[in-house]
Amino acid sequence: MNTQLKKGILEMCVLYVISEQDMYGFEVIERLAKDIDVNENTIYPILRRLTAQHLFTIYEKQTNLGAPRKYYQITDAGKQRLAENINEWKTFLNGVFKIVGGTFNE
Amino acid sequence: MNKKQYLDNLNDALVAHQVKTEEIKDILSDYEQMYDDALERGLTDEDVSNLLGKPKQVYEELRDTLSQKSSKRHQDKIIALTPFIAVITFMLIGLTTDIWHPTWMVFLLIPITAILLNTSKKEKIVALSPFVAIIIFMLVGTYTSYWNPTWLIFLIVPIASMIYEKNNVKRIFFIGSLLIASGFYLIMGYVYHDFMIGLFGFLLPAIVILYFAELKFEVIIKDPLKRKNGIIFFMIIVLSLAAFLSLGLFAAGWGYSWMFVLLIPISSIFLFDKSKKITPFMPFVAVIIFYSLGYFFGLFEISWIAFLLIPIVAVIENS
Repeated sequence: MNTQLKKGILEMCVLYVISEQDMYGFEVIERLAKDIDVNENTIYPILRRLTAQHLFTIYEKQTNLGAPRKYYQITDAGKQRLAENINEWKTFLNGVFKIVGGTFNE
Repeated sequence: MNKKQYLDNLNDALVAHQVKTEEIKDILSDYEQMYDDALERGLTDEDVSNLLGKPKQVYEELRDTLSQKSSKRHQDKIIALTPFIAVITFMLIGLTTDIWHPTWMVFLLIPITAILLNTSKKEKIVALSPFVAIIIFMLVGTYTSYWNPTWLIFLIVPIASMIYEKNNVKRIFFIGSLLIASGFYLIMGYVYHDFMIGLFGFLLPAIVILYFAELKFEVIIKDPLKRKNGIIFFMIIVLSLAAFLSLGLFAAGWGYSWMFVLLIPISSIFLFDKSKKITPFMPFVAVIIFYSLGYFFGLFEISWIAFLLIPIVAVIENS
């Protein structure tokens, strides 16, 4: 798949799973790997990029064992970006389905 | 690759690209945490490095989120200036003294500066060695005509690639056998006046290489691509050295046959470097184009333009 397109979609997925619940880095990878092929190891760079764009904030939480964990939490700007992305994505998919057939499963 | 090696390699990749120290610290601690989390889930080291990405790829992915030390931007400017400095120096010395050869070697400043400023310590020595060898070989050869045995200087290339070998036995045997072979070659040549017999001394390092390749055979045999590349590389080494030495010894062609030796670094980049870019080849290609046109057609005054291919290709490919 076109990597630029894939990157955009993965960004949306990362925004989405973190909007559901705060997560630490590896948890995000695990969550996405469950449903899609993410062996291209782009997740952490995405987390870092989106954090730099102030779409996530970071806080640390003590764990039972050893070092505190870094959690990612979505910001208002992040929620807004996610809504925009989902909107664009749906419009895009609808268009694709009109061309090649198939339906949106909601 | 275990956790420590993985993090060390990642650190090297980031340091080599002059990423700011605090960002490196931040990234490394994040990767350490993810690595620990992955191990806790029962993944093997190999799984983890597949999942998190090879350190060099990680750098490529992270690239647009990183800020570089300000000295890095400064260095890029210096690298961009070297082609102009080289052209001006070359023209000035060439026009005033008419010594185009070996003045052309100022063009080697372009790749040498880029290597000095852009690679990590370990890579630096290996990457610089072919250029250092060319410079010494050409200067000594041109001014003293001792092309033989000065060609032995090219052995610093395999020796440089072995300096950081972790396996002590392998390193000592490799470097030792090359030095013994060189000694044997010199003794046979100067004491017994037979360089040809002296060449047989190089069977010793060849055997050492084959022996250690044998140890790796089980790994290599499982990966047909690596095996194929290994065999091709070995054949290129043997053939290019044979071409270089026979043209030099029998046809007195030292002045041009050394270009065959460049096939070795060229093919190693082509066969083993994952990034499929043209930029790393350019210094060697430029040297060959420039020198062939100059040596065979007497076009040194014009053929230096070939060196401008180095920065041009780098700019086009990396923009």
